[in-house]
Amino acid sequence: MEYITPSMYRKILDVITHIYTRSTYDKTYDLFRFKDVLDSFSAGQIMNKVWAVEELNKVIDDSYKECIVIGSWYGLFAHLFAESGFNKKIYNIELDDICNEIAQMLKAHNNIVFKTGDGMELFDKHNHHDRIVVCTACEHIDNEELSFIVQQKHEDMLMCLQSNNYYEINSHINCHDSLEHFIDSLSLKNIIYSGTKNHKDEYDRFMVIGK
Amino acid sequence: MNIILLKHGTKYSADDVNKIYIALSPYTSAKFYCFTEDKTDVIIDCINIPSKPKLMRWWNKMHLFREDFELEGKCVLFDLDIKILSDPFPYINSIDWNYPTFMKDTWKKDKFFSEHSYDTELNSSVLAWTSKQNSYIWNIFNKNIDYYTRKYKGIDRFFWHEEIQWRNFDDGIHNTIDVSKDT
Repeated sequence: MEYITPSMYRKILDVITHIYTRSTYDKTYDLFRFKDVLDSFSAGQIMNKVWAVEELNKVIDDSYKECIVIGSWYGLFAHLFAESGFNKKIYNIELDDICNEIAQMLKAHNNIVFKTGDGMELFDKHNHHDRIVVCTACEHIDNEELSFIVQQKHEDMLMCLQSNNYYEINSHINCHDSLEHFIDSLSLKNIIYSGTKNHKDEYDRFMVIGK
Repeated sequence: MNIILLKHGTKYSADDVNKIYIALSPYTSAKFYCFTEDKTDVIIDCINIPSKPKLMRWWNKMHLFREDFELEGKCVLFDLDIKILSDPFPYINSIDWNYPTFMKDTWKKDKFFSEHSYDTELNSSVLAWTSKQNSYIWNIFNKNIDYYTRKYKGIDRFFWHEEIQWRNFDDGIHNTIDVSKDT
């Protein structure tokens, strides 16, 4: 399935133009946003999010009423999940308000919502049995806080979590040596799927789906 | 005055900390501290790097500008990959302590760097500041840590490009410290 259609690429080009124009009069829009947006739609990012979407679709049924994405960046996972047929609400929670402004411009599905805030703090509000929580950027999230929400979550809530062993990146504060190490750090009671994908011989990305 | 030597992760060892302490101590009666998460084999007093928010490597220098940083008064940080050639303190004692003060990479002055390269002439190999006096710097950083640590390679670039007031040491300090990174 082709998840990123030409119309999505059109939107990305429009966003690049928008960032340039805004940066000429609004200092909160800087030129690094170009790179940040393009990085968020890189081949590696698409591969990782498609991986999550495809494995999630194998294990979910219609009983799930909502998906919550923690640390949603520019909304790629939500877009791909909606594109794959998930038609319930997808809440994207992201700390960076500008990410959400841009994600809103890229939005192609009406069931996608963007909220600015700390996913760890807002988690409680969404902690129900019929929710899916996705975080494909656990390497950016404090391990103690992540473990805490896993311990607090409703026992039937489904979680899909990704991290990596790419320690060299300064914003990566929660890398793991191996998939086993990542699984151990989470304390999920029921692992439904786990796997590793290598990226260009540079690093491994780990994914765990479980309850 | 407090002298602070930052060691985070495994790039530098306790031996690197101890060597800088030994090299600097003839020139000052200031109190030395290692700012670290691993005190093993460090021969000076240590203060803990705060565990939250977790930062990596040199980004831990940002914790020094927090309102709750545990030391008071005048502080000077020295990197561990420098070589002390002679007494740097005449250049340090003469600064305006109202502002964080950096070394300046004057060799970069005539090079072309486009705005979006986010390069800088600042060099925090030696960094002096007054504790708790400029906590607005931490507050700017703390609003969007993940973005800033993606955007900038280090704190020098953050200081240079964000709306932060800073000063430079007199260029003479370069005669007292070798910051060429191959020492």
